[in-house]
Amino acid sequence: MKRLTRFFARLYPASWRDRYGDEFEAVVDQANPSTRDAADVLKGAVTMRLMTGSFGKTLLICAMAGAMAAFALSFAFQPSYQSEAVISVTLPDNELEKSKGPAAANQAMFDVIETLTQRVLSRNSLTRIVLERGLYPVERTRMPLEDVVEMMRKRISVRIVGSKTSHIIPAFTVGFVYPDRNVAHDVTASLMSSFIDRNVDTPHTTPIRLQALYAASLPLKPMGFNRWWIATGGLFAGLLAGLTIAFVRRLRRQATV
Amino acid sequence: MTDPTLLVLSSLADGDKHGYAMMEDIQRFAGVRLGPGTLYGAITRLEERGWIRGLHVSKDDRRRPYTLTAEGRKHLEAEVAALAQITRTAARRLKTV
Repeated sequence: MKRLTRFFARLYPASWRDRYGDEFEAVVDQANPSTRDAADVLKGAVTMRLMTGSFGKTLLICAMAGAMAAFALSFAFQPSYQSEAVISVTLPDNELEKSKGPAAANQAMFDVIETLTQRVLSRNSLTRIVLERGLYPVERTRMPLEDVVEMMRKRISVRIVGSKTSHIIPAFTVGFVYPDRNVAHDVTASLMSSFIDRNVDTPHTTPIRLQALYAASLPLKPMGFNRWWIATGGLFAGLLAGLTIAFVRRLRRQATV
Repeated sequence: MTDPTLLVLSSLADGDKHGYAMMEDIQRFAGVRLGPGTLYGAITRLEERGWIRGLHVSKDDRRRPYTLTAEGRKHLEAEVAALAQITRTAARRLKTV
């Protein structure tokens, strides 16, 4: 630990070491430094550099420190991936003839989609998916399964494509967000299959036809998570910190004059 | 005045000392162990303000003793008076509760 402490002592600015270096080493030698002392010397060296360095150097050190800290911190966060599938919805021709116009037909289809959504995203269905695929292993040790299922439900999106009142026969998307891109893809594909299968099994007042239009996507990039953007944010935060330190240093110098 | 600077000034109030001697003295009277970095941060600031002064170092000894200057003594006295006032007020209020 003495060697490490001596190494950290060499990180003090050269001008400071010219004045205090020898006596500081003597103190380090006598003190038999612990890990805490080594950390204390490192902290002292960084502080001394920041408080005595030039304005430009201070900004540079703080900006680099900010960028590196933010980049390192970004690894503590789990990125999330979103997969989506698109299912087309059509009325058989005879049903379209029976309906009271396109708007009424669309409304009937939307009602069926809503019913199917409740069944596909029921607690039992989602519980089965969570257990079969081993989803949320950490969360399941910390919270009740029903809470985990509720958490999963919030990460599933079912969105109608097209207007209720337009003449366009709609489709709808099914999406799932998860930290693992392959799992996000597989669960989305499974949900899509569930919609199609349950539609066949469930009797509807207005029977509709569901078909896979676009298979579940395999997401390549995480949602809104970019380490380089985070590092850039850290760089600007570091610059701001550097400006603050330079300002405080100036105030202290004025106070000692 | 930050705590380490107050501790260093208090340590020098009864005589000149080098860095390690200050560390030991502070540990004895305040129960606080200042790390070398913290100690020399305080020494640097105090010397910049002219409240302490480094004395001559002999050829055989790298350790430099420090002494309290007249300015430093004046500031220490003011700080001690302020702390004493706070301590008296707190003690009185605790008794009345």
